[in-house]
Amino acid sequence: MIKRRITQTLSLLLLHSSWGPELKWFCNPVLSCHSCVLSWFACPIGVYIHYSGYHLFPFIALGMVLLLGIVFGKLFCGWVCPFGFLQDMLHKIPTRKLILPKWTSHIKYLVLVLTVFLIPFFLGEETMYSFCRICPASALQVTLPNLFSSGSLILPLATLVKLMVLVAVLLAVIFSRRAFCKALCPIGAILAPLNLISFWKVKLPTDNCVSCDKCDEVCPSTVSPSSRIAKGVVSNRSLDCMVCHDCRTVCPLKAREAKT
Amino acid sequence: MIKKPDNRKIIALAALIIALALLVAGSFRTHKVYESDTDEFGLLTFYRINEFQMVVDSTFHGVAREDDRLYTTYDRSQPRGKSACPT
Repeated sequence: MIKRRITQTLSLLLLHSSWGPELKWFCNPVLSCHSCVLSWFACPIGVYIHYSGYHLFPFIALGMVLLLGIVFGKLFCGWVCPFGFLQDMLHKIPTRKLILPKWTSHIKYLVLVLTVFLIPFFLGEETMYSFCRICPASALQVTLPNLFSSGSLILPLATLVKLMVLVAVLLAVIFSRRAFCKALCPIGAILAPLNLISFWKVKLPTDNCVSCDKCDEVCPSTVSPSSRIAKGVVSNRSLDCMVCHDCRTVCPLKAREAKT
Repeated sequence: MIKKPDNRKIIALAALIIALALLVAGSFRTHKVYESDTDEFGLLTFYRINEFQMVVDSTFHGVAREDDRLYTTYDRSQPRGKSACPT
C-alpha cells in the first residue's frame, strides 16, 4: 500500500512537471488533461474525440493504449492515474461509505461510445456533448486555474456544467471508493476488457487459501478477488479490478511465504 | 500428450499483434492539412504531416475539419509555443 501511495505521488508530480518541453505524441492512459500547462503527455480521450471529429482512425493513439493495456491491464488506474489518487485520498474522509450497485459499472462503456466516439463523429470535435466538456480532471487542471487567473465572476453555462460535474464527482468519491472510475471513466472502459487478457498478473497462493476474505475486505474496486482465487484464477482477471495489488499485500499466506 | 493452448494467451497475443500493427501503420501514415487561405493564384496549399504530429495537433485543436478536408488553425511556418485545447 505504501509503495502504491509513493508511486501515485511521484506520478502526480512527474506527469505535471513540464517546464516547457512536451511529449504530446504519447498518449498516457490516465485521466490527466493535456491542456494543463504542466502536463507532458496527451490524454487519449481528448485525442480520440478530436480524431472522431476529423473522421480519422486514431492508429497511433489507439495502438499505444492497446499496447499498454495488453501488457499492464488496468495497472495505470491503480498506480499512476492522478485522478484516481485524488479519489483515493478523498475517500479517506471519514463518513458513511456506500458501494455502488453493480449495474453502474456498465455506464462507462456508454460514456465511451457516445461521448468519445459517436457524438464527436457526427457533431464535430468541438461539440458541447463530448466527454471533454464534462471531464472532472480537465475542470480541475484547466477550467479552475483559468477561472482564477481571469478573475471573472460570470460563468458561461458550459463552464458551470463542467464545475457542477466536478463537484458531484468529488462528493461521490468521498462516499463511494473510486466511484468515478467504476461508473464513468472512459479510459477505464477501454482498459477493462484488456484486464482479462493482460500479461500482468497479481499472483496469490491459490492452493492453500484459507478463505479469510481479507482480500475482499481491502479491495478498493469491490470485485471480490477471493472468488477468483478459489477457482485458481489470477486475481486481477476482472473488468473493474484496478490492479492495485492490495489483495496480495494483505494475504496472510503471502506474508507467511515471504517469511519462510 | 499435447497441451491444450490457453485461449487467454491466444487472444492476448492477437491483441498485441493488432496493437503493434496499429503503431506500425500509424507511423507510416501522413495527412494532408490545408492552409485556410488560398495563395496568390487562388490555389490551395497544404502541408503533409505525420500521424505523430496529428496526435500533437489534436491536443490543442491545431486542425479543423471542413468539407471533408483538414485545415490548419495556426501558422505552421512559425515556431509554436504551448497551446491549450479550446474544449
